Amino acid sequence: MKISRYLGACALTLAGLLAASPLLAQSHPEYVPLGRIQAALYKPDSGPAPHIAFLVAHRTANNLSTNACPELSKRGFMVLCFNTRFINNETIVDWEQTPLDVKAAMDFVRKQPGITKVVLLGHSGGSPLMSLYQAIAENGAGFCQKPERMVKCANNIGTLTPADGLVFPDAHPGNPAQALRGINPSLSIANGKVAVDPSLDPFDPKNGYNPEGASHYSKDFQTRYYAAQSKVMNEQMTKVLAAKERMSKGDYTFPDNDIVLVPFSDQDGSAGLMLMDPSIPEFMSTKAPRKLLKNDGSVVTEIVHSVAVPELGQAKANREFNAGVKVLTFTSYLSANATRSTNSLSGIEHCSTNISTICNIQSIKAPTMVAAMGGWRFIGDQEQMYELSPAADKDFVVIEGAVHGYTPCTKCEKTPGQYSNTVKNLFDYIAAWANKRF
Amino acid sequence: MRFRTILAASAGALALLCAYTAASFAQSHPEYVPLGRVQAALYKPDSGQTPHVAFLVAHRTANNLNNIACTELAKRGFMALCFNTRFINNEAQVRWEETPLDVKAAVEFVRKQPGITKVVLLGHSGGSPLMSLYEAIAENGVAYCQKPERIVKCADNVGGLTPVDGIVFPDAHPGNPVQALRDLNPSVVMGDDGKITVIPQLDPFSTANGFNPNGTSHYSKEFITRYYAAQSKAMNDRLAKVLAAQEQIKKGEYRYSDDDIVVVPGGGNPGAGAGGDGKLIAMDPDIAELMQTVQPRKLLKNDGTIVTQIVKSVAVADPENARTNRRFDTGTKVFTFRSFLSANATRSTNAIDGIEDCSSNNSTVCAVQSIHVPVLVAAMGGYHFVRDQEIIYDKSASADKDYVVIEGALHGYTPCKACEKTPGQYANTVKNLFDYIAAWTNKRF
Repeated sequence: MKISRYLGACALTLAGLLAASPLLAQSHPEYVPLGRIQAALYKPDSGPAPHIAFLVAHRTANNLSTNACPELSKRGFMVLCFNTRFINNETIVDWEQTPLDVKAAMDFVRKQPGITKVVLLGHSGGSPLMSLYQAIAENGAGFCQKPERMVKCANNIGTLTPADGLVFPDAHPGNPAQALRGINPSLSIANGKVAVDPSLDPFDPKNGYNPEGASHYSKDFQTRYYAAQSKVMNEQMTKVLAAKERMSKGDYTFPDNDIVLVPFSDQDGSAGLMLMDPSIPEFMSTKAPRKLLKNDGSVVTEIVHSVAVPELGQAKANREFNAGVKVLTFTSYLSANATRSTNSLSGIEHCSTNISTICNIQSIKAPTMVAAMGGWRFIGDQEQMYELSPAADKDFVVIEGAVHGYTPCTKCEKTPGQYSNTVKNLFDYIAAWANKRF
Repeated sequence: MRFRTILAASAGALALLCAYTAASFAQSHPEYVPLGRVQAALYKPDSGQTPHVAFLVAHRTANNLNNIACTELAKRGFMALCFNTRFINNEAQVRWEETPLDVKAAVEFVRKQPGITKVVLLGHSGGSPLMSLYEAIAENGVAYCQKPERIVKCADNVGGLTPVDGIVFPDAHPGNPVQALRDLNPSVVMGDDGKITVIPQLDPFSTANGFNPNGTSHYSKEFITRYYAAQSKAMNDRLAKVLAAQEQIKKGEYRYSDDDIVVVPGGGNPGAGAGGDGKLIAMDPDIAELMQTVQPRKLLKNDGTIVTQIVKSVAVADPENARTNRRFDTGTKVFTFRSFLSANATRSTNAIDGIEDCSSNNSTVCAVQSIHVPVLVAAMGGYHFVRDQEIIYDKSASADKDYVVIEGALHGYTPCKACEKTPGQYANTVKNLFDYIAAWTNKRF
């Protein structure tokens, strides 16, 4: 039910950073209501009027004061940070409505005096949000109405104005992929009691779990686990789709929608194996040599491994209601939290949903920059996005030692301050990338 | 899962109003102010003297960053800090006893603003239990929200609150648990198999019981009495089940170690506010116990004059509830054990005069009995809370208290056009309300 613990931790870190920032204190972002979305408009405190505007948002998390807003405005850009109509509530998400919220923000900044270029910034859950908007803008509503989509967008999406570029700082593959990889397939509820399948239990030392440090799961366990995750999701999806069929025939409890609980899977209590075992290369390393932006500002090209450390609280959190259970409806489950798959690693049908950065990016031709955080868990996913992007102008860089919210992974450091420049390095890189092109 | 129909209608009306007043709004540039887990927008007058009175405007879960009160108060020379709590847009997430911390963050911010010497809380709708709980704790200490009769008690972390200088309640309601109780359609029963059955003798949407699908319903006194008692029984049964499950959790015998879902079919709109509910006055606005004052009270008429009389709401019936109440998105509340117990449950024997208001910390009626600063209660005369607010006024412990009804106003302050007999009959509701609030404030502070 809660915004993830790591987002919470990021927020706290950011709050600390912001409190220490004299520059932000000089800034007075303007509150801008735009219909159903809430926005805060950040402008540079001094210097020339900006001609580039960034849009910053997330599906449900509060982005009105995310650190991208002051960091980008400090570097001379206009930034419109906004919250969608689904702020703080995963249960009510109707994903195919979200392009309308990005559209409201886009239409607003395009009208601001001096603005000639607009860049979408898609971080975390903002990455499928921004990439869906742009994929529709470049290709028309047909993109989100393809036959393979489980939920198709309506024609009310209309004509969207494309952005001039996209920046993905720690994008993820999409919420359904995230939801799938978070499921603990060893647990089920029968007659109100929790049953455990020991052969699939990620928190059993026999399967490689280490309650005090990094776990090490065998390849065989991983393969079985990924397949079992898909089986759990596929079965739940089948049930929901069957219930929808009954609903359409007037043979259901409610005529419109119903609750969907997905236990032992939510973000705070995720049972994704890479949380406990950060050595799994498919998620935590690049396949090919890639640019690594080191803490001292230099860039080297090498196979990049995440320096993330294991999460030790998942065994407990996974069993809790507030941390481990997704509370959804048929609408929010099917539109934003389900995907077809045969396994959760390489067997995901990304284009079975509209909330997939990996699917969307394959239809985006505007300049694209992907920046993975090197102390987190999306390095492999973002390398895949970069490879699949058809943009003629694309870039991929890993920010050494950064956690998901861009701040230093102090737990990952071997010497204090080893990754102290992550925020500066990321936003300097983004600024240089944007200024070079626009 | 949508916000209530009436709020939506109000929002539409407000949007029109904002468009109408765009010239003055366009001159304003409210500043976005992040305050920890609170999001706020700071409104100041565009010109004139620096304000010395600041209003705080918020709701438990509804977006208040651009509530009509923000611009209307700033236009009248006040500072207004409009903010959203940490539970914005999510009823299931609410842990009510944490909300005073969000009001505290806002109070502390405005107290530090240059020139501000007085702070007034504005509690509208769900904002009324929010603001009144803060002030009751501020005046009486944490013991207020830890009394033995509370179903959920606050923690000690809500101590040390600074009292404000006054409270304005424009269309306050008695509290969310009371709202949840009166919204409940007790004829809807979900069995263990997930199937819903309807008890015909309690069905508020049955013509046999007085329902009129095309206009105003008329329920008999006997039906009303049975219905109110059945609402309490339904809530009491659910309350007992949830408390029993919590006991199981404590013993480690429950499927989760902390919390679980509470689904209330027929409970009404799952978002902020009413709508989609089984509240009898929504279909039958003639029920005197809720729709009119007991004593002669001040009625601020559309032309700006004030008369004193028994005031009856001019609200019209909403038979649409028959459809929306049975749907999931518009008629089913979704909580957790925690949000149910802390913000949506009360002990009662019936839903009209048998409510133990102080069994919950989410009760305006309970809180005003412990608040001594000046209080203004302003009921909207085209809505549902005329009598509840007379009770709030009567029970207020303040030596300086006022009660007025704004003729023909909807819950969101705008004119009830559906209530008008001649076009424009209630055209001045917003102006009348905020002029009254401004005069009340300027006289005292």
